[in-house]
Amino acid sequence: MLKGTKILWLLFVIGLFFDPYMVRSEYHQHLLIVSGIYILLALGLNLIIGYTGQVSLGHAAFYGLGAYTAAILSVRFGSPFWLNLLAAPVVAGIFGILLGLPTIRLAGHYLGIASLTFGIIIEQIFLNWISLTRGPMGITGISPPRIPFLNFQFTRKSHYYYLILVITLVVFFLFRRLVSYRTGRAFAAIRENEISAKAMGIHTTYYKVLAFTIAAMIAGVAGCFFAHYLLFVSPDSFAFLESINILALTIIGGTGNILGSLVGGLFLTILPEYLRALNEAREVIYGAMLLLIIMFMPKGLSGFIFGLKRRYMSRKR
Amino acid sequence: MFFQQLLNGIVLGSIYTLIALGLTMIFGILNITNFAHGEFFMLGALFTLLSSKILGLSFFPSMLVSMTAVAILGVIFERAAFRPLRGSSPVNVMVGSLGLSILVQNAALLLWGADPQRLDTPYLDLVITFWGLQITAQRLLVIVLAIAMIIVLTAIIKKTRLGKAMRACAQDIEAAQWVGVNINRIAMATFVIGSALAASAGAIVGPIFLVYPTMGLVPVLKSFVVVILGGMGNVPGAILGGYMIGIAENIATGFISPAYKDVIAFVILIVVLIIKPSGIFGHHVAEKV
Repeated sequence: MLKGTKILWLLFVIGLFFDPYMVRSEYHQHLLIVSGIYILLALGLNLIIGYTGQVSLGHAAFYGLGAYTAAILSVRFGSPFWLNLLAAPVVAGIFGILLGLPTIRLAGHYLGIASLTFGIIIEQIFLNWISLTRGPMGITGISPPRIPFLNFQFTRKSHYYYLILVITLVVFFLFRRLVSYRTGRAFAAIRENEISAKAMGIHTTYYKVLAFTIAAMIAGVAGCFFAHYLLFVSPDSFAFLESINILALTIIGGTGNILGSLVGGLFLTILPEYLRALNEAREVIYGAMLLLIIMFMPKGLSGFIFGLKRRYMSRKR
Repeated sequence: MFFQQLLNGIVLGSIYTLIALGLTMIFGILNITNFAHGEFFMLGALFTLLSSKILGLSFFPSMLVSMTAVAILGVIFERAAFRPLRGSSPVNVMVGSLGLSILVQNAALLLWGADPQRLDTPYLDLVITFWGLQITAQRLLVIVLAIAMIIVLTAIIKKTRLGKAMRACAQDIEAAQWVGVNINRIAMATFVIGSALAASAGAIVGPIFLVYPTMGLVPVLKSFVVVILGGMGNVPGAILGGYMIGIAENIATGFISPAYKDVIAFVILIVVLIIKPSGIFGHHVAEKV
């Protein structure tokens, strides 16, 4: 059975590599690229919510920190994409430690609102520290990624598509390594019961801060890619509503498994595009769908898929 | 100048307090982070506007109509959305309330348009001067309303059977059920009170600011801060927190810089949480093993 699932994943990944050859639409590619960014963001938040059982309502702050780090480095110092891809998660990760530290003392709703507050403060800094961030005007003139020596410049959507695909695959691979072994078990122990985790000798503070830091770093990577893809960053992209959007797609996708982030990122990026035909009623339907999915699929889309699979397997037996 | 800012701060604090009172009750009694609470505030202003326009009522009757309508909506939301979600994880309830918020906000946008609308009252141009301070009658009304609502709410919570049942639920919802408290009725009553309070806040500030579908967002975020600042589910905490944030914001705007006006509330929260993680009045409950 496990083998079957693995083959399916492999086929899916291979399929993704051929996608630009099959669908020659820039719009389609753009949607997939944006989905890729959201899949990364959802994966990070999934680590905090689904694997470690904490809450963050300020995830867009890390995304923004990554994007602004990349943008400022690129515009001020002409630093190339690849260097920024390292610098952005470092900066975001440092702030992840900063947000992670209060989690030693806060839990539940208190942590939720504290992280929301953190997100808003970061957004206000983007808006008001004009000498560094140019405020609401945003930063333009970010240079697109290029491969040195080969003299290859990323220009077309399909180039970016492969870039985000590779980044996402690498992050997925590392993420799986992280959560499948010792660290992942420590996270799960904290999620299930923090006191007994402590009693078993797990350094809960360390692991909680670690979860926040890694999630922030993944968001930093996503932000760096975002900055070098759109070649423009402004505070609007990292506002409170974006944090909420990331939260929604993490929960709708389903938490505690990798599939959830994948489904959530794809579904909630592509769904609004299809709802566009409905014009003004679009947002109303979107809100209603969020509510209905939460009501009828409390474990998210991935939980629903797993449920279907389980039912199918038991019938076959 | 200082006292003028203080007075403005009290007006703003009254608004935050009115929203936060309902929010903290919903938080404390039902354990719901209600992101749709800002929509009660917005609908309160919108319905006041509509009933004064369509029914031709004067300000106070239209405010009452609006509060009733929003309270009914609150009950409907509780029945249709929050009751089915009871017992699911807090994050799920959060996303559910968020869906509801998006739904209501955009339905309002669809039905009444995005343009900010003016809500006129005779109290808007009436300026009262005392001790060298200036305030419009409408702003004074905000303060009076908040004080009145605080008194009424405290009376309900402290003196009535309903209030006793609510306090019981806030302490331990399961134990309350064992001694015969009907949770569904308590949930309904909580939403009636919470949504009516938010609606009254919306109605009373509608004339001061403008009325538009997204007007609830910022006040409700600040009110979340107020709720956590005072200690979740703590009514005196919400009152103290509301006035604290309102006054601090105005004084900071007047004396430091208006640019960071929206940050003050959040910085205060972080500082308080670092010193006292359960809020000012919140008492730390030992975790059950």
